Formats: sequence, structure tokens, C-alpha cells
Amino acid sequence: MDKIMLWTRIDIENLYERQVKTLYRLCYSYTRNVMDAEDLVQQTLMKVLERTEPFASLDHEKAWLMVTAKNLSKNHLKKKKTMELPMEDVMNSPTDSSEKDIVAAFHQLKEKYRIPMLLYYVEGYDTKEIGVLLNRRPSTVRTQLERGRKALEELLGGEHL
Amino acid sequence: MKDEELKKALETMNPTRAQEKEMLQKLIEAHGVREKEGEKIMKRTSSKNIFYGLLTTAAALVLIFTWRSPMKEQGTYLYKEGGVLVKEVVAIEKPRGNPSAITMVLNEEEIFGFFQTEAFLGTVTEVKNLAFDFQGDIYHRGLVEITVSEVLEGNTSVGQKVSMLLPGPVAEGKIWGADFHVTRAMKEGEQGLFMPMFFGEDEVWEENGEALPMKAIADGQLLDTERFAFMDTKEGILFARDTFQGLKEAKTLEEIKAYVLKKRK
Repeated sequence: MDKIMLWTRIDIENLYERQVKTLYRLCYSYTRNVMDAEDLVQQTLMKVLERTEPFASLDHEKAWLMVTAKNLSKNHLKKKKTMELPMEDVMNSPTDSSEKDIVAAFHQLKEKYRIPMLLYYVEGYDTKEIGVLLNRRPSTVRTQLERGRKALEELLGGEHL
Repeated sequence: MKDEELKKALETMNPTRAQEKEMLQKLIEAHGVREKEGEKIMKRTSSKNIFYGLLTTAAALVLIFTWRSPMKEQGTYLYKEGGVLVKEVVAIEKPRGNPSAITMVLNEEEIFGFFQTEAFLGTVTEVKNLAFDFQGDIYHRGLVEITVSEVLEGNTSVGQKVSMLLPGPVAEGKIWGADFHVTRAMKEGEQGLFMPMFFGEDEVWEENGEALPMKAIADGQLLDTERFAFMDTKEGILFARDTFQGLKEAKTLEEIKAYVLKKRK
């Protein structure tokens, strides 16, 4: 039985344009491997293209994609021990040396700090929303943000304080 | 380090333009989309989808055979701008287009946390069906008016009449075309606890090259009527008991109110 899907090329391009950077940053923050991040972005978007119901809003679309990307990334990490690829070779790397240091230090943080920090500082979610997305209590998220921030500043050796 | 500095640095973790193009190309190829713009695509469904498709078809057939009224429309347009017409219909022939119900499985944390909803108690004071005509592409939705009796969270006030779009048209006690497990037609006089999403000023519904500002039609929408509404019906309290684990045994709106208030904190 065939079913008519509503995704046209334009729809896909618009969805991609809206969400690719957010998804890529999230998947890369989990895997720290550009090839894996690319694959996971692709898998996440393929899942959304299987939907026949529209999202209620762009916020709903984004939240759905974030949760899907998170689940796929975590499953991927369970199955595979990733090898980090130097990001300069394969992705936009910061040109500013200070930004480069921050990103490098960020990737040395534990996952439990990296992901809430990305969602909070870059994606603009509050602690309650991050709690929902990551299935953690908001109070836990707050603690992880504080500890992650402190660990980041320690790694940067006080230069950026 | 300032927050802004950190944000700016982390925002540099982007794919290159070449990577972006390659990923998009792979996605389009993998999805098998046709090159021609605007052309709808066909996709083979999985056996699970076939099963649900058959169930939906069976449900639709039951509705079609029990449906007695021919299509009747009332003359007055609620909205008539550009190529968009919206008018009340007293009955509909068959559902057109996808319903807008959130049919994904959500746990209660997601219900309370994913969506920017408000919460209030109120009484359903009017239920009707609307036809949305986007240059010939016609969609149907139910519209309910709820008179607010108690505000739990948000900007409504007691006595205010709030209009809410439902995810599909109301027919034969159901919301037609939507997920039957999480939708049910509301009836005039029924009381309930409602958690609607209110439309923003710039929120539009785009179809067929036309755009309808949602605020022109309703104050907001109920994503579905059993997870975003808890209804006190003749048959008892009705809501998605399997979703709200802590409310499985609830028998009154008061119990639900206390729980919802706790969860929304």
C-alpha cells in the first residue's frame, strides 16, 4: 500500500535550512566525530520525513528533532567507540584563537556537561526545557551547567575569566 | 568568560558549506524525492504503517456509513482575504488533508514540558466546524469556545470566552481524521481543564501559496483533546489515563487540577 507523503523537495530544503546547524552541533557535541555527526543528522532528518502529520509549531519540530537526534546519538555511542577527527580538516573551525580554545576545552568536558551547555548557551533552552529534552531534573541541569562552566574555565586556565 | 563569548565560540561548530550541500544531497537522494518543485512524492509504507492505515480506513468507513447529513455550509465567511476563505460548515462530506493532531507518543513530562501551553478550567459554550479554503485546497477543523472559570496558569481571565481550534472537524462524537485515541469531540456544557497553545500575532497557516493569520480565526489551539484537555463528561472524567501515570485513578477535576498545578510548577 502506498501512502502520499507531503514532503516536497522545497519542504525538505526548508526543513534542512532551519535545523541542520542545530542538529549538527548537537550530534557533534555527542560524538566529537564529524563523520558520525553527519550520519546522525541524516538519520534524524530521515526519521522526520517519515512523519505524515505536521508539527504544531516550529518549536515542536525543533524539540522533536532534538530528542530524536539525542536518542540516535546515544544509541550510536553505545554501539561504537568513536575516534575523534580533527575538526580543522572537516568542519568550519573557529578562526579566532580564543574561540578555538573555548571549543577545544568544551570538547574535553564530560558529555553530561557538554550537552546541557550547548542547549543552554547556544540553543537558548531554559533548565526546565533541557530537563525535558534530556530526561533530567531541572535542578540537575542547573548543577551540571554550573559545574560544566567551572570546569571549562579551569581548562582555559583563567585566561578567559 | 561572558555567556556571549561562549555562545559565539560554540556556534562555530558548524558544518562547512560543502558538507551542508553534500548532506542535503544525500538526504534528498535517500528520501527519493523527485526533482520537480512542488510535486508530491510517494513512499512505500512499512507493514506497521499498513496496519495502522487499515485501522484508519476501517474507522473512516464506519464514519462514512453512519454519516447522514450531506454537506451544508453557512453563508457567512469568518475570513476572506486574498485566496483564503474560512467559513462555518454544519457538516462535512469527508475529511481533507492531514489532521493537525500531535499523534506522536508523548509521556507526561513531555506534555507538560515541550509545549508553551496555558492552563485553565472552563465550560465548553460552543462547538462548530470550519472549512478552510486555500485556493481550492480545503481543510476542516473544529472550533470550540470555552468560557474560563478558573485560571491556573497564563493570561486568560475568569469569564473570558476563549476560542480554540481542534485538530480535526467534529463529527459523530469524534474528531474526524485525527488520532482517535487522543481526540474526542467536546460537547456544549461540558466542563474541563484545558491546556491550549495560544497563537502568536505572526503565526500563519500556509497552504497552496496562501497564508492565513491564525489569530483571525481563533485565540489558540488544542493539540489534542485527551492529553491537552481533561473533560468532565456524562460518562465520567475523560483524558488519556495511560499518558498521565500519576492520574490513573483520578475521578474528579479537582484531583486533576491539583496534579496539573504540581506538574506545571
